[in-house]
Amino acid sequence: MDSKNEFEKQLKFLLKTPQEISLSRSHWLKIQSGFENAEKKKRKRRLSYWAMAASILLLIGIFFFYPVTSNKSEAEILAQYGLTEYNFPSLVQQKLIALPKTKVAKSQAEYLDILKNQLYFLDKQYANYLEYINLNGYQEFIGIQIQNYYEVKIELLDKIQKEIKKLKSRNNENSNNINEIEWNI
Amino acid sequence: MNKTEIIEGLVKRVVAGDMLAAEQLYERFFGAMFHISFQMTQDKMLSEDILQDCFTKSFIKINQLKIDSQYGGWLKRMVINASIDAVKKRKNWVDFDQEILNEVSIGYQNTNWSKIEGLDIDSVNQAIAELPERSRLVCCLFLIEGNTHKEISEILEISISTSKSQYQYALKLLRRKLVQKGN
Repeated sequence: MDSKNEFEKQLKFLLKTPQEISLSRSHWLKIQSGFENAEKKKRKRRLSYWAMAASILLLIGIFFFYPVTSNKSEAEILAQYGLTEYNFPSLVQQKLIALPKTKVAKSQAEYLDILKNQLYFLDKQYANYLEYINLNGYQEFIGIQIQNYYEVKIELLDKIQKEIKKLKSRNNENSNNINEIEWNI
Repeated sequence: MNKTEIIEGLVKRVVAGDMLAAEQLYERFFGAMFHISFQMTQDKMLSEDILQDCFTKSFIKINQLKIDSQYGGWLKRMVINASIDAVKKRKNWVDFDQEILNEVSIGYQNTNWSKIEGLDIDSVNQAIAELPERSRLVCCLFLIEGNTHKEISEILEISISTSKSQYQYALKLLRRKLVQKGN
């Protein structure tokens, strides 16, 4: 722009002069209420986000952590999922009754204890299966595991019985030289 | 405490939710902002609405301000943009005829640009108010806000030469009106 333009300079000077503009209280009050409304909306939105997040967390919590516990007994669980059709529990019971207290040599007792520990190990696994059903509900693979448990347990009890018979008959042949101790399952 | 520190302090208080500080900021900036907006819109009610909107927005978004002392500049940009948008929305908003601008440009060289004796601010404001809208916007941005023609071209989305021509046109009209009034 032309630097010799005196008129432009005059305008710039005049326009820089502070001009009084009256403030109206109602104008400020409108701004204040607009701001406060916006803040309220923001707070509400934030609150609704938190509520949403909390309900999602609650749902996740219910899904993952709330134990689907039932007060059902072991027999009821087995019956509910058709695991009693092979009559496993009563078969196991019969096998256990057939294994009364017996006397075996100390070294033989140690061998039988190994078999007994295998039984305990199986029982622990079985307890885990039941706990899994309690927490997560029944699933087919757990049913298969429980069937395997009973089959292996029955086999193991048969094996213990056979071993005891073998040991007893051997001990009877050499009864004089053996220091026997009491053993039971 | 200097002006910058006072504004910084007020902004910090508004961020913390102090409405009294917000009112103090409003009192400090209302006059200047209203003047900017009114020069552009020439509509008191519209400018009040624009200011209401801009102040409210500025308080809502005040925590986004990177340098607290720049609140004034930030608010001013908001007000200018809102005022330009409001003017553009008017039914009588028309693009400037390039042929007229060319003629103006030629006429500008032959005009006497000396001072006008006895000129007062009210007459100037009145003359600015009577300018065609687009010329008035360019005139306000250049004369009052001190923007360059490059900045004006970006704000109004016009070419630099159009901004210059419109300013020259505005200046010519202003002089004619003010001389007539003086006589």
